[in-house]
Amino acid sequence: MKKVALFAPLLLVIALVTGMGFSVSAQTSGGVLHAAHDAEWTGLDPHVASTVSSFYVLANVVESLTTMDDNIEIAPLLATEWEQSEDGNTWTFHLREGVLFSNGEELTADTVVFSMNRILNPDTGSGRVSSVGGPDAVWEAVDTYTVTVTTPEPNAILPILLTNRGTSIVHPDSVDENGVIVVPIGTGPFTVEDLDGTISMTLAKNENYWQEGLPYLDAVEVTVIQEDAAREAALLGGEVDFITSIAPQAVEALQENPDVEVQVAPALAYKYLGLNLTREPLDNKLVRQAIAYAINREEICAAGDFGLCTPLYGGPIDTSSPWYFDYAPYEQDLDKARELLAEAGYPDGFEMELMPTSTYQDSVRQAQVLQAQLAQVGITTTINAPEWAEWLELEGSFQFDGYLCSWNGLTDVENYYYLQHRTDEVFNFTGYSNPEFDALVDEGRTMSDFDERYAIYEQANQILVDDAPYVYFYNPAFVRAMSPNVEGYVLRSDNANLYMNTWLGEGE
Amino acid sequence: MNYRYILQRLFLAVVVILGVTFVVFMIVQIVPGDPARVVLGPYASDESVAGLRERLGLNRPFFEQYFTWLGGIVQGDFGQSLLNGQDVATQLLGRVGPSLELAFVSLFIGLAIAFPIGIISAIRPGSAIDIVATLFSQIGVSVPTFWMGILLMIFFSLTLGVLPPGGYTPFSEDPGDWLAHIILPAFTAGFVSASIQTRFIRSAMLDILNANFIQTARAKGLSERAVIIRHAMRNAMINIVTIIGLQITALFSGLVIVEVVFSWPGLGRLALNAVLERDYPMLQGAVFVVALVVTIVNLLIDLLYFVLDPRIEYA
Repeated sequence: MKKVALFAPLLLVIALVTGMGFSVSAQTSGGVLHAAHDAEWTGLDPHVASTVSSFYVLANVVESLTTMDDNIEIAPLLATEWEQSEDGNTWTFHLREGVLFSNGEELTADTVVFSMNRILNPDTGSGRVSSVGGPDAVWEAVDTYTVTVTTPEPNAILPILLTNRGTSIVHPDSVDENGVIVVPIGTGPFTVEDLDGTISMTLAKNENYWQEGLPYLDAVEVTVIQEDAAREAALLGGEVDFITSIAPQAVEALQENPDVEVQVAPALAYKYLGLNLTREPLDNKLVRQAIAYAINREEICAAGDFGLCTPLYGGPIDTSSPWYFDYAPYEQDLDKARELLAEAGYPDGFEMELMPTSTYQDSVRQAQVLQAQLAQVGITTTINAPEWAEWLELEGSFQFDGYLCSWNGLTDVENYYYLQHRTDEVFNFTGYSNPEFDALVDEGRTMSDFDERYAIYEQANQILVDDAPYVYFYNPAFVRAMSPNVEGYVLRSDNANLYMNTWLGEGE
Repeated sequence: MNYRYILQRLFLAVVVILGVTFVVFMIVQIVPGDPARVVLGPYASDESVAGLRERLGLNRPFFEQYFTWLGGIVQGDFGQSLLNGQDVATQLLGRVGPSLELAFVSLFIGLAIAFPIGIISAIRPGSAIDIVATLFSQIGVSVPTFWMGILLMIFFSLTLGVLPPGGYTPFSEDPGDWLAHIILPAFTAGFVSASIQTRFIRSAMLDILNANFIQTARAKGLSERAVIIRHAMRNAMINIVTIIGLQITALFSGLVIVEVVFSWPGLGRLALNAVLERDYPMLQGAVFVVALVVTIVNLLIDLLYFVLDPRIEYA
């Protein structure tokens, strides 16, 4: 188990080294990259799609007003600058001029308003409403290159929320007569060509792309290989040059292989146990704390991700993020867990169900380890692992005791603390409600200065960790593997899969 | 052979296909899981789920949904995928070919293994060949398909580097490449079906070889070879054809696993993903096509009986 602790700093070092890019060959244009993704995309409508596999493609095709750069800091994209009104209720975005969609038409304020209204329209069924200002937001075109958005309350972090590619701007012609986007027309560096269902596609260079000289590649041939072993075999055999994930247990072997370059980066994501606060005895804070003390995160990490992760002893955010808060009380302490249970009135423990999903085997393995650990303090658990579609239904309607899942894309503190924990917020599946916490995150939304926000969220984080509606396990790591001649690809901690700066070199 | 019988069979085929689609439609609606939630993921608000359900027509009554679908089918319109809005018919057309290719090549490989071994085992029961064949059948039946597929892949594409680990090239584009890609998945599926076929062919042959008319043929002084080929084989074929028909059906269902393991763009993989994502129209379309293929195969088998066994008469 020592290995895990050693691994965490190592991950950081690897991430830093790959991030700096130690390659020295000159960037060359042209060529076709053969990439194998690990899952089929579930639709290419950026306003509706929610899966990582869809955004592995979409992030290269459509662009949002703002973006996160490789250091996960906000940067301009389709908007060059933005400012907030005196009363805080209106944001003005100045658009980049001369940006063309891949069909040759120009990006204007009208196309931005069209996309935002499509997201806000309930008939679209978009999950991004809160990211574009909430259901009452009003987007308006002021002139050709200026848009405003007005919200009933000040929303200090709207530009950060708009970095989400699910808020991307599409050309109105993308939408078919059924109101569906099968293939989006965007302003990104690539366009979708030769789409064959959910099996393969060509990402072709967008000749109209606004960033001079980009992308370097003529095309990316994307195929899907779901089976881990087959994907690795395809890379090793030279069928493909790049794969989006490898099984954690295979990382070590591939790192030692001179014909493969492996990139590993700590993920802005975490895996966790969500507790149902509407059920006894999980409504009792002491019981939830007991669970947090009873578990051994290194063991869960070893089972779930084969040691390729950083354990979390407090809040969800790891030391590598600017949003890390130094409050980590939950080192495993079985005596303390038993004391808390006794204090809560359950000296002999109690029974509960753990709900991982069979679709993600890592969560099932975590549940099995968790079961043994909780048994040590008298908490008897059964495991129910439904498949994803059923799991979503149960998770969304409080029909669980404790569910196991992961949360991705933790780029801003807001994405997490507000949306998942404020009373009655949309992603609050645990039923957590604490007025003190609510007041803090409400205040946090109205500020944009980093230090002020940090101070606020640090207090919120402490309340949250103590209340323990969630028990955090660890941050996993993202992995990519490629042949040595693939240059310029940056594995980001937010898992954005961007081929724009990638080129094919000579190899090592 | 009379036409009334054929018409009867055709009518029955239509009823069967409709019945299958109805049952599948019902099951998939009863099974928990909401396509709108699958599309929107774990962090979707109830409002957006409701909006999407409305847009996808999921709030309409069950029978209305089914008959709308049926009405579309009659006009060749299979609807759109709930997940990606793509036209289902176009998707299915692209997937039928690869699945049929894989099924028939697997069947061919299976029979090429099973026929000689099954017959030799029957002629010489208890011989070394018979024992080895029995052992291999046992292995083929017991080993999980996906595991065997992965083992073969590791050996042939990683260790030896002679075959691609998966994927597909259309025959029209490059026959050699098509063959290289189809060998491993077809062998994986074929080996399993060969294990079952071998046992059936062996026992069918044994039954016939011990039958009275064979003893008569032998008594007439025919050579053993003539006895086996002219008399025994022909009679055993009736049983064997039945098995082949069942095997095609089984192969089609077994293809799901092989297609996923070897990234084969077929119906099985499509159907599996459609089930997991509750993509009703896509799943319905795939089930319809598979039911159609299986029904046609069974129809052909029934007609083959006439050719093989003149004694069979249908009222």
